[in-house]
Amino acid sequence: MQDMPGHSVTLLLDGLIDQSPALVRAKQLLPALDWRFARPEQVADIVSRLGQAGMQIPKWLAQDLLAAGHTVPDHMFAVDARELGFLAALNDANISTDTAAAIARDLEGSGSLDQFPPKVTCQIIARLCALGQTTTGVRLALGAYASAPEALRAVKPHLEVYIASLPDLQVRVGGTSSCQSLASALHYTFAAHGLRAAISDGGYGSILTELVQVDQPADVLVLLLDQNYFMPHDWRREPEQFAADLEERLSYLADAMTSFCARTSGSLIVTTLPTGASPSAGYADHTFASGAARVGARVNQVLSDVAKQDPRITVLDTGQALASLSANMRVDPKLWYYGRFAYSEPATRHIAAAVAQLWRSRSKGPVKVLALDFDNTRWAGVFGDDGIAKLQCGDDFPGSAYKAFQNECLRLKSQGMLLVALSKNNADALDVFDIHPGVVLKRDDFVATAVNWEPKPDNIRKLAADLNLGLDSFVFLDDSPHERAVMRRMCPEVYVPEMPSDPAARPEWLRALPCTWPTRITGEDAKRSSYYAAEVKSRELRAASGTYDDYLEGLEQRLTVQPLTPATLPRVAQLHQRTNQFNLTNERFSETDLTQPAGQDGDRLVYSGSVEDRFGDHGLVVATAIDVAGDTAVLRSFVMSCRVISRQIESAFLWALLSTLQARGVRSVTGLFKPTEKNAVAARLYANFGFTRTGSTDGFETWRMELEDLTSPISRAVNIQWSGEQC
Amino acid sequence: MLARNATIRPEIADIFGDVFEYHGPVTQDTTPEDVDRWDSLQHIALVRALEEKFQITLSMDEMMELDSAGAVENLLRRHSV
Repeated sequence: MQDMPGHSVTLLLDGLIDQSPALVRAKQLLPALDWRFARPEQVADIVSRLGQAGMQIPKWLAQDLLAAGHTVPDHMFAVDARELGFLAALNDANISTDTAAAIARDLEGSGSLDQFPPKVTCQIIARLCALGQTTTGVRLALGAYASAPEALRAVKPHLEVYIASLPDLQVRVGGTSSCQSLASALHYTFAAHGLRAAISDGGYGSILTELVQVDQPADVLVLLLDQNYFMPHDWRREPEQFAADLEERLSYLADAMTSFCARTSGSLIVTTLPTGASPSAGYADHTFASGAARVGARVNQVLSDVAKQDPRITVLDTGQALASLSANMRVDPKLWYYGRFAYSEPATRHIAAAVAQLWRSRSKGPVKVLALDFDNTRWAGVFGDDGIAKLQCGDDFPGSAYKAFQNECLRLKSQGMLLVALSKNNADALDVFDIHPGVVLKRDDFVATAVNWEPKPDNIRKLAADLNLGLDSFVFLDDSPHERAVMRRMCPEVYVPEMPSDPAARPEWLRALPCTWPTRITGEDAKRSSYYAAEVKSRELRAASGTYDDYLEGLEQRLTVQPLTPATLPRVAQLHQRTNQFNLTNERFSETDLTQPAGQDGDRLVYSGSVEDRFGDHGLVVATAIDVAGDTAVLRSFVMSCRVISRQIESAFLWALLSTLQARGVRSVTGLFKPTEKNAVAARLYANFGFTRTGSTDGFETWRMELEDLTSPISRAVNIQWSGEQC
Repeated sequence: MLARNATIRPEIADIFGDVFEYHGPVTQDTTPEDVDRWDSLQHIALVRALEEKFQITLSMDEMMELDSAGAVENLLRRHSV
């Protein structure tokens, strides 16, 4: 609370409150007030006067009152804004611990605090901390850092202790301008994604040094680019000379990026040049050699071309990161002249937030499954009440917004996302996808469906089990606040964003949802959906046929094994990065690790296997890296997609590997196994195959097999064939 | 010329605490000499803190003129905040 105001201020407020219905309508004088000066009885007074005038409390006033710490009955709000309801509850001195915890959970589950006005965010966080929800308060404040940095103040006593508890990430920062501000901002934005970033900063103009000279290893190097570096420094030079200078500069940069990837194992995040506020060649800015727009486009083109060559390079779109800031907020000229800071503080925070978000997506992968509600999400109307004919979806308003949203879902499907249907309806609601002419999603676009009257959390668990995926792979989209709240409560692992209540806002909102953003799209991603659909179909057959072995034999599975090729490399690396369950050694080999030349551990051989069965093509689903030295070999990694677990693929693949090793003259093979929380399903592989446990080293169980003991394939369920040379 | 006295607006001492982690006495005559972390880099943080807290925008000249806590107070007075 602010210092209590003097008598005259109180009188003044009373005068304004007396006129409040007229002042609220005109939005005059009251918006300028700091309501921390008002006494609780004055707030009660204005609420009752508005009530008597038949008015509700408009959003701006509700925000002002609540952010100042007052309680307001939430039925008086003119808008249904979740954050206002929460804050009304949190400001109430009599709130129970359970309610505070439920609000904390709901806010964390939706992760959308940065959509609220900063003062509301700050007050929510301050109250959560005061009510003992400090860890949630810290996480929310970190998440809102880009738009509401002042929220950190409320959590200051707990902040560094929390960050210190997080796992480390080694980060280097370099740039064409000064990058100290970016380095400090990254400390908070990485913490928002659960990482304690140990940051070292190369300083002003360090871009090339960082790329080609610095030897200190890091998980990621972040490069901040800005327009000034690439623009002409001497306007007396001819435009053609400038164009040649620019190309030379860019070829240095491209070479330096390539050399970085060759000499280090870290990742590289490079920011693009955003469109500037003003041109340097007037209306010819896009066509003239030294036009700022043309230079920006050329630089960004070169960055993308280099990034295409190496998956460890990701180009971050700065314009996108700064989308919420107007052009004059993105730079602070005095900071440029003072210390060569190319971006303003708010812009720097937004870039830092985008970098950390990108890193999270890179390391964890985007979410895998979009779980979709039907009524009023897929189409306007309720199937059970209105019937198919009355459901609105198509080219006419308002169905056009629903159709656009369906198209966004299809876009995500084409980029590797799985769609599942999750609707409280009779099963015949699925007919809509076959019959309704305006509905562009079709029944087969869903890899699995749960259309019944069971609670959605139960259904989503069942779908997760059918697809062999964790709940943390799911995003749940539903127009009902109730269903969203229940899902957050019962399945906190599922990400439940706050979908806008206005259908017109939803297509753009879904495009802007970062958890759905892939960092790189492989050929496999487009086909992923059909693989999973085949898996679900074959599970249905399993339920119907006799013994499991009969079922497997009936599947006519074909495993095609091949040595590593440039075409399979990205997918093999992706399997190493993403697989958590059937992963024997938990080694997250990158493309570089997989292609490393012969070293002290001997030659590294990498094999992969693709699986087809009578229901479909599962693609490349199993891979291994083996180090061979003389007549001994060590299995450094063995990863298999959860799509094909329990189908004896792993034994067939292992048998193929061992027989090819035998053919190469290997006599003894050591298998490594590192137990983790998730890989119990892989624990029996060596034992089942006849390996003998020999001990443990460095956290790995070691298992051995002498290849003279190798017999014919133990499984009849998989037909093995080779593609390419075996050795 | 405004009269100098030793005391200073409490918000300025708060900002010195936040920005410089300086919790000693802040007076009109407190200068970068007295405050360890008041270097050229943290000077930017001071400017940003003033701009955000008081909702003002400083010019380059104003940025240079801030060489003591007293100068900060004068600046705020001039901006009527």
